[in-house]
Amino acid sequence: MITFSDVVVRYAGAATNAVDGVTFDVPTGKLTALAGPNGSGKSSIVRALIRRAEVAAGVIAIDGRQVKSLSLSELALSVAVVPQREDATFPLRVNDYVALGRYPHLGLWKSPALMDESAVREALVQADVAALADRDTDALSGGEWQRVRIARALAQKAPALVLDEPTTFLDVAHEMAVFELLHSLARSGLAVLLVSHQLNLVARFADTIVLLNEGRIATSGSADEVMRADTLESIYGWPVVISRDPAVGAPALVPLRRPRTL
Amino acid sequence: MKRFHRWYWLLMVVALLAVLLIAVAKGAVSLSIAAVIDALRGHGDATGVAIVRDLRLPRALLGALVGAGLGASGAALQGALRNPLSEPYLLGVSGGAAVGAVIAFALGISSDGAITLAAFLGGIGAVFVALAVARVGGRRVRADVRTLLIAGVIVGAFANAAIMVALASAEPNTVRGALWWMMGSAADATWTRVTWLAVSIFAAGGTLIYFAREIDVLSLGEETAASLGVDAERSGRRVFLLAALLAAATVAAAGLIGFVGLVVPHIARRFGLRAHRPLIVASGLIGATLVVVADLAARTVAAPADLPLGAITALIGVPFFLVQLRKAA
Repeated sequence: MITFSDVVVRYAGAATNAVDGVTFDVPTGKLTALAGPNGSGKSSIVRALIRRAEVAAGVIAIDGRQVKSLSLSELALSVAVVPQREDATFPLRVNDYVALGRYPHLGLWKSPALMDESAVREALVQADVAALADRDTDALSGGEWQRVRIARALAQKAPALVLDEPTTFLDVAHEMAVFELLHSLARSGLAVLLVSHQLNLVARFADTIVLLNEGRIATSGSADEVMRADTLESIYGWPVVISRDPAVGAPALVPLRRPRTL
Repeated sequence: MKRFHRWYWLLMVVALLAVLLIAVAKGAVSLSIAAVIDALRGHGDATGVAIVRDLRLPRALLGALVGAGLGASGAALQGALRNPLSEPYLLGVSGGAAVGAVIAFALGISSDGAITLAAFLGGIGAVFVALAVARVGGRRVRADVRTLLIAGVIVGAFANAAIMVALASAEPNTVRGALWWMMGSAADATWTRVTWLAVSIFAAGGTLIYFAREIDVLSLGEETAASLGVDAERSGRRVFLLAALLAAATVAAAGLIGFVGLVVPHIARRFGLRAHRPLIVASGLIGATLVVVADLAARTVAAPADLPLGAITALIGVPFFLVQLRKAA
């Protein structure tokens, strides 16, 4: 479980806090979604978790251990992260790329043991990219590349998994496949934190939604609790209506066209 | 992407040994391979032994070490900075080393060892200035490894300007000495120089190889590296410093020899290598081979004139690089 308690993140020279006293849990076995408008502090929370942004106040802990007291490699053994952006300058074979997920276990010199190889194989299968193992990373489609990156994080075999906008650039089918995968990973016992803009998908898959606005939690809870027209309208500053997803009955957001002015 | 086969290692080592042997055999007095091998063992006529042992062998080995250092340095930098156009001279090393050498010349120092040392210290000094510049620049924005590269370019440009100013009113001798640094040459090879260079290259190169897996992770980008437990800033600085040490040692020993550090890692990748441990080793072997060939050309193409080695490597490197760019496009 990852716990964020009163976390404040402030960037040097910024007038306001990027994250301003945020408290929530990412429990084991659950898919927790972090949503909110651009600049609401979602990515800053992820960056604070992997210590790329400094926590000015508050505590981030993984299974009761404070993140700031862990070494970077201990941290990498506790949580695997798929950051928002990543471009492979020099293409790698997919299998070798996923194997880099074993770095926290191997360090500089240890050669991969059977356990490491099986972790890589398992990750390739879980993310449904085993067939791509011999391909080069520059010969993958956008959807394949995202799943390969998830496989790399899974090979880390950490008890918690964090993904920052993993479905950007993906078409409907690939996006759905990623959400299904994350849902089943959570059910298999991982603590999964998903940063996503896709409110409608989040509403269908996430156990808990944390909705951020201007660095604070605007609302959090189940899809029905969070997906309310008045809340979303004030956060996003856009007229919306909430309808129902005809298949599973989850709330669905429909942004409205602006009324024409004559 | 091509798959790497183990026998490529054999190919690389044999190619290096072969060009070393040819480089020692060819010249104003051409020797047969058998005569070279005899002379190496101290047999045969005294002139042959002297040519081989005192002149050509140290020169060939100096070229090989310079090429190995530049190749390894380039491979590590390109990976750590995630930029296929990075090369060691962009770190400000070259400009700094030339400043060191010019200061030594201007002070009237003529001892070979002292000038080499001055160049080395100048190169390393420039890198520390670049690191300090990057730290100032990195305070506002979260320090990016690439800030280091920009800082290196700035320091190098400043050093070049300083050289121009210094040379404008310098004595012809100083100008000639400074020009030597800018053109690069293995002609002044001595066993002492070869030994010092070998020690520096194996120490700094060995350390780079030790940290090579960290470069693999670093090449995925800073966020991903951090999520895998690698402190991107610290390990980036480490690679930067080691690569600069390698380059400064080669510049001190043989002046500026362009394009080797840029082109050689690309050749090594063409063999299908990606992981940085084998990539750095292969870049060392290929760089060594390339510079030995270039130096052989430098002293035989327009004999008895000795052409500037740095110009030859650029003449080979630029067309090669253009072909690479075309293929990549």
